[in-house]
Amino acid sequence: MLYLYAFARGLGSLPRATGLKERPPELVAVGSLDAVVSRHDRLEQEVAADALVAHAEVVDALMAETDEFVPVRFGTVFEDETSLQNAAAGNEQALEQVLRKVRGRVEFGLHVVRRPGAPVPAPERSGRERLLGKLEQLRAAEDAAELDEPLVRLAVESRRRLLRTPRLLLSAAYLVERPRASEFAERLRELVESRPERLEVLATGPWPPYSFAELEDDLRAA
Amino acid sequence: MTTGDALPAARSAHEVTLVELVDRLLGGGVVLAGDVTLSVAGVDLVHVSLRALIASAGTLAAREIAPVR
Repeated sequence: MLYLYAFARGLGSLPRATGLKERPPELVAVGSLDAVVSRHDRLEQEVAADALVAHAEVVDALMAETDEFVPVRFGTVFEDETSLQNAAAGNEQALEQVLRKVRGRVEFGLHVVRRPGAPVPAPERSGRERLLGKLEQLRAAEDAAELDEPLVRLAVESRRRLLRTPRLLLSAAYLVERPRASEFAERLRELVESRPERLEVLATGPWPPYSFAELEDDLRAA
Repeated sequence: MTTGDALPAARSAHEVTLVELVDRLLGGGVVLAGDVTLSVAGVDLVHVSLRALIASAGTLAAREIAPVR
């Protein structure tokens, strides 16, 4: 079986990472790309968090080696090379498209959260109060979204979600050109430091561009 | 890392980073139809704690994934 981590191009050497179940990553040529895989006799369908870490380490190592790669979602396994070849061939153009979009770019993440203790609308109140609470919540989320305007301007593309939970006002991912990554990180740091007292801000990165690696077909299906 | 509030010690930067990782690896990356799809045991728990965890973080977490092990 082949466990798939990513597709890449122009890799000088193999990613220096341990691999899932300590099976070393290797390359399988698929069209004009290389699939980065590890080989396994069998894989349990249910795996633990260390498998996620192993996957991430391989993709991180790739990011250090090349700026032309497409990360694959965790958990994709093929019975054999033929099966992998077929899957890649069927998505060749779409993969090229994703590669063009994420090439030379990294991802940063931002979460803006209401501080513990800051009021969150209580569910047991009257209809009118609930509505007012909802409004206040929306306003807070909009304020949070304004916080990141400078980041959106620096990024090539961004994804923002408001109010994933009553406390999680803003969740965002930014696609950033590698040469601008340190400038972007600096802006994030400033944002964290200048955050309003009632908010917590979590910023992470640079990540491989996971949030922006989407096949057109996925978008259509979503 | 925490911002100095009385937060449980378990909410470390590494945990936060792991949650971020779960969010990205299970929600991002290109999706190909493989012959088998692995799932991660206990991920629901991690997702639930996302809400609590990110409430505690106020720093640009270093992306040191290895120490999560």
